[in-house]
Amino acid sequence: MFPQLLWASFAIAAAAYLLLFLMRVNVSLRLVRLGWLAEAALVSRGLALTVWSLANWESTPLVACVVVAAAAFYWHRTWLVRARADEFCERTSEACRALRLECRHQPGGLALVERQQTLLLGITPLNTLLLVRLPNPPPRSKVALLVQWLAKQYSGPVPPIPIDLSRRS
Amino acid sequence: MATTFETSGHIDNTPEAVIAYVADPRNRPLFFPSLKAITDIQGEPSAVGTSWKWTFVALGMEFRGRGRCLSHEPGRLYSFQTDGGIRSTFTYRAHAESGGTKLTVSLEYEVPENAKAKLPAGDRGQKLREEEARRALENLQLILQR
Repeated sequence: MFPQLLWASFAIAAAAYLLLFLMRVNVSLRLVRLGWLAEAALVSRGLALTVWSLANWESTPLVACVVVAAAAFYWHRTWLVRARADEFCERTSEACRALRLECRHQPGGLALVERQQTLLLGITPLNTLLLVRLPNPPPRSKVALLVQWLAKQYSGPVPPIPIDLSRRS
Repeated sequence: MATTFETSGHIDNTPEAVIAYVADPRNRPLFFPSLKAITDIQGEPSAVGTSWKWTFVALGMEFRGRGRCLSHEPGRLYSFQTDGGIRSTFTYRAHAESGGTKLTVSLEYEVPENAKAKLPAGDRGQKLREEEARRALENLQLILQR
């Protein structure tokens, strides 16, 4: 019974994550988060091997988790964003202006120029979604600040707990 | 009881440019690591008396409140206060130094009893807030360097 429960709970968590992503706007789906979930499922099942040996049917969820974890590792800088392309580009360009970072629109995304180095923020519209490929900037750079800003503006789909501090508890 | 904290650093730009930048609340989410958004700006963005809504994200929680500009002396000083649960006053002072600017950021804040349960408290909370101010200053150095 335990293996069924384990796989079902991880499948439900992944489905809830995907559902929340499809229900909310200005959020991003980061494959790396699904990768963590897949890794957690694999580790949990691995730890349980001493008590419950692998059943034949478990090869399907095992392979699925390995594929998701590998994809998350390979595409860890890729986000699916629920936003309109023009709005996303406009907001990002405004942020670049505020960061005093040169930003040029070009086919496939925005070219970010800093210290004579050009990095590409890849943007591909996919119907109502955007496939965003983040650059890999040096840690102390304006492009890194832009990536941090994007992570705040297009956070993950799980809603944060809102706390209005002006209200009395 | 109010807690105070101060940090300072050199910025390779003029005091006028530095104060003009920090005085515009729309720039703040770009250099304050945990500040997500500034919205509903009431008035000219950097004028005394202008207010705005802020959204701060930390530890999986989203805190909201209002801020208001207390004083603005171009090239010298900018100060604002956040109202609501945490009463805090941020003051930026700029002085010309070695062809650039010495920027000092002072933070005075008080966590009221009714908000203590919702926020990181004690030394941990203080370190988080001080680290935030330090990183904001480092980010300003990066953004404003000529």
